[in-house]
Amino acid sequence: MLNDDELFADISKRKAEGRDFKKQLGELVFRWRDPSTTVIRRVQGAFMRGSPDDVDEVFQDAAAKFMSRGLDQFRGVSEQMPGKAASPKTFFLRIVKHCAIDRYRRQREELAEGPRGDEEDEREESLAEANRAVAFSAAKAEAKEANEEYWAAFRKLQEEHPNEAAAWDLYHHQDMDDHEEVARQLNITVVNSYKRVSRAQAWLKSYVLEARKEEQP
Amino acid sequence: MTVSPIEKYQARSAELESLRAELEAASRPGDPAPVVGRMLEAAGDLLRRRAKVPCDEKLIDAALAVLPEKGLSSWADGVKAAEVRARVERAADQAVDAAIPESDADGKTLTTWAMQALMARDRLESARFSLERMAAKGRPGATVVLGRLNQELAAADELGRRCCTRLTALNADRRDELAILDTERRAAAWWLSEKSGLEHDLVVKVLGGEARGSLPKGAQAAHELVMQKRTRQFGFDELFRFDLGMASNADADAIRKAAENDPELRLALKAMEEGDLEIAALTKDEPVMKVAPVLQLPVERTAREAPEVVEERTEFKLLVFRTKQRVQVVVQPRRQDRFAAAAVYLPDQPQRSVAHEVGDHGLHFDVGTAERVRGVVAKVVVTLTDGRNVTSEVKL
Repeated sequence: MLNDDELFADISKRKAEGRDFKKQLGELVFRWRDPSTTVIRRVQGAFMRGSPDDVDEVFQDAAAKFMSRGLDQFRGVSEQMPGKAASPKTFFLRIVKHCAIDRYRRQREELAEGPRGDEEDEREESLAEANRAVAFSAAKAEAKEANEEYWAAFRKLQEEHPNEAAAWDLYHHQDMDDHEEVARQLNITVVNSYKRVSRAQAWLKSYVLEARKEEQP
Repeated sequence: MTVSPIEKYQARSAELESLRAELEAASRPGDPAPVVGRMLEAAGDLLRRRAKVPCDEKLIDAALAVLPEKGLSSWADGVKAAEVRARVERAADQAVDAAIPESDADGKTLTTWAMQALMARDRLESARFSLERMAAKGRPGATVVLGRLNQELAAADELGRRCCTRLTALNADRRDELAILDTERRAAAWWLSEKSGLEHDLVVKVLGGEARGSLPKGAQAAHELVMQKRTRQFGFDELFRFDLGMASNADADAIRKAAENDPELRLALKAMEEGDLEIAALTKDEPVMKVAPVLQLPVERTAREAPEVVEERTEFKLLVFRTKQRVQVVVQPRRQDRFAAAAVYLPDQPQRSVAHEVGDHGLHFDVGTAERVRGVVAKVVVTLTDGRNVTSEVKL
């Protein structure tokens, strides 16, 4: 039987050659199931949430992420930050850790948003109350969609124009609203800061417009 | 000396004659594709501007008649509508830089570059128009190439024209070009005509908050969405990169700062530390793998790895390859008998060329990481065999 490193090398080779490697990867991550469970429980402890039933889902989520993105990411990380992901196993356990964190963060967000319609008391409501509830729910969904639309545009800005994105992030998201402070933090001139923030705005709004055209050609 | 658009097109007749002579010369070596391409463009440029740049159509047809079928198909193989679309999108990006430049002088230069990129689409339209004429005169090769090109362009244009709002920053120059085009050709030339009216001139500046003005309804909605106050959210990817030490300094600072005021984020960071302790305990006896095995993937390139065509001449092609890690300027000789040497200079070492290697695409000049060279202008000097130097500027 191949050891972990040998099996990982086989997976890498298969991937490089464009051959199927799902079965081998499945076998490899299954070997790390017990330590994954330990990590998930530790995260559950930090959030004071979760149940043993969650372990399966978090593990599967991590395996899927490792397969879709993690293998390529691992090489980059191990080259640039060797101490942070010294082995594929350590790297996988980090993915497990983040999948668990992501799950419990989302649960807390949902709790903070309040109960869903189907979980509410089955009390009788007047027609007006029901209409108000429907309108509120629609407005909430719309706001969520708009929020996602904005962050998609911001991610594109970060990718295409990182300097402008960094200035916009400080000025707008971090509530700096002061070009002198932005300039100081980014080690640029005040004029640079002003121009970068302006260009960021123009690009962001253009990206939103273009994305809307894509949805409604 | 700056050549006005109309002078540029007036020179096309002479260019057409010269290209025809070059094609007819029996001694001409190598693949005729570059000459075929330039001839299709020159002929189309004239055919689409008959009112403002009168030209003897017999001369155009005679020139198109000498285009060899083999050269036509070789030229068509090299035409990528998606690459031209990428140039239009690049032009749209540069248009924003040009509208809101660091200095007025930068604005003029950036406008010139943006228009150069944008006119790549116009030149392809001219070539397409020449093919239409050839097909109408019964050239079977032209019909086949035209069919394929029309199909590819329809798909590329559908995506490319979405960035017209940004192109409005080039409206003065777009209108100059549009005015020379025959009236019946203007609507099809969306890269010049769409939103080219005076009322759109300031849209990019208004979007950027650089000028006051009203916005069309759609743009107003985008403005409101973007200007709404938001605190940045950090999801799986951001926290994962931060945890691995792969986040940019700005992102890492932003996460730390956001955690000061956000108890939920603080809790996530605390959980990250807890998880780390567990992972360290679980792997403390594991051998350390120094470097991961090589994972060569994909033969197919991602869109971002496709090269940007900066300049295309008979003698050489100038390309920029951008990956997340590196940026390479590539000079690709097309006429070995005319190409002598090339050098690339960066502003921090204006006297010394960047080292190059002979690679798959030509002379590869590795100018550095994308982060380091972003926005830098590289000077590319290509020396031809007749001793002439051709200098280009490339914004990295």
